[in-house]
Amino acid sequence: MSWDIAFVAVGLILLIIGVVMWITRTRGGLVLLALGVFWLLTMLIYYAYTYAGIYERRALYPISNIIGVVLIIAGLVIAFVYLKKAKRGG
Amino acid sequence: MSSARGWGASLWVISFIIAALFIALFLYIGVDILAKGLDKPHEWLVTQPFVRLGRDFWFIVGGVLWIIGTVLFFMEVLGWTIKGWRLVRQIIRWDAVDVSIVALTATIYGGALAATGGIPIIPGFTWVRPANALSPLFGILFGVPGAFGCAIGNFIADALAGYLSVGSIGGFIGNFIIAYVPYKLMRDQTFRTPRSIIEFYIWGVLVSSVWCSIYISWWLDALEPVIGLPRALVWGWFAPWVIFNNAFITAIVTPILSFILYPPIKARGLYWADRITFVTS
Repeated sequence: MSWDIAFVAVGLILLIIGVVMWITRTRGGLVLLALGVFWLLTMLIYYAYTYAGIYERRALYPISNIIGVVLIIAGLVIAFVYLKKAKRGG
Repeated sequence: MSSARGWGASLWVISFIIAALFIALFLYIGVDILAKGLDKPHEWLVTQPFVRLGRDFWFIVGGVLWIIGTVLFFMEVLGWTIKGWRLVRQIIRWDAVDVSIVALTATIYGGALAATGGIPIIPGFTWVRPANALSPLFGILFGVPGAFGCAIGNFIADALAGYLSVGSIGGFIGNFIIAYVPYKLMRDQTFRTPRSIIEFYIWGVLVSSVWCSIYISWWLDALEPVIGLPRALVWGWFAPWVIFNNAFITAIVTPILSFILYPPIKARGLYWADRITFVTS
């Protein structure tokens, strides 16, 4: 079994365990679910880049730089929303 | 009264001298790398401990650090920690706020690594990473959720940089360690006392950078037949570069960011110590 298939399997296992724990309201379920989602998102990026041939081309940068900036903005939005929520005592 | 004030001023002077010495040391190492050339790692000053002591020595040291790091990672994930030299249960809520902290640290750290990527040092294994400064910051502010976010962020960045492989598992826990060491070992994380500054340079710059580097290097060495980076390059190039890459930027940028961000994070109840419960009985 190649390593990428093993990685996808790990991501799926994390996701399934996370969903089951979340549904049964077990503490840690939500974070496992998030880990599974991020893990599979990483594999999605890997396969998208592989099949689009981006790893082979000089286009890897700036495409990855742009995606990086988008991720930073997403992170800052999450930070802003939750800092605001925390300020309100939510 | 005045002697206490004098002693306090002396401590501040000592802490700034220590900070300046750390920054000067890593600046010197950086100048040394540039002067000797990125393609001549065996001549770098930072490589000499690895060259002199040899691969076998570092493989044994790395094995011990790898076991300790891996055990600590799984202990923390499973809700156990070491406090006051005792194994205790810790209750992290892992509610929407904690999971949001994981998500925001993962996306900001991963995004920053990718956004500033593009200058490979060892193609397929590591690149110039100024965003490393964020990792100790997230550990210090957010604790285990922040460290967990850094591990995920590095994993995402590996995919975006074309470096995703079995080696990324070492990077996953290695980046957790950079954030975890200052979170766990700094007693004062306010960046407003001499003690806090001295502790940061010891644990957050020196120990975390060296531990992370040796942790990942040991993994790359042990799995050399699978991963494919020759052992001579692992200890003679990758390990010293990762130490420099982490420590240099962390020594300069992280204290400034921590000083600015500590008060708003603390005020909003997001500082790790306000969100965790230790079961000591």
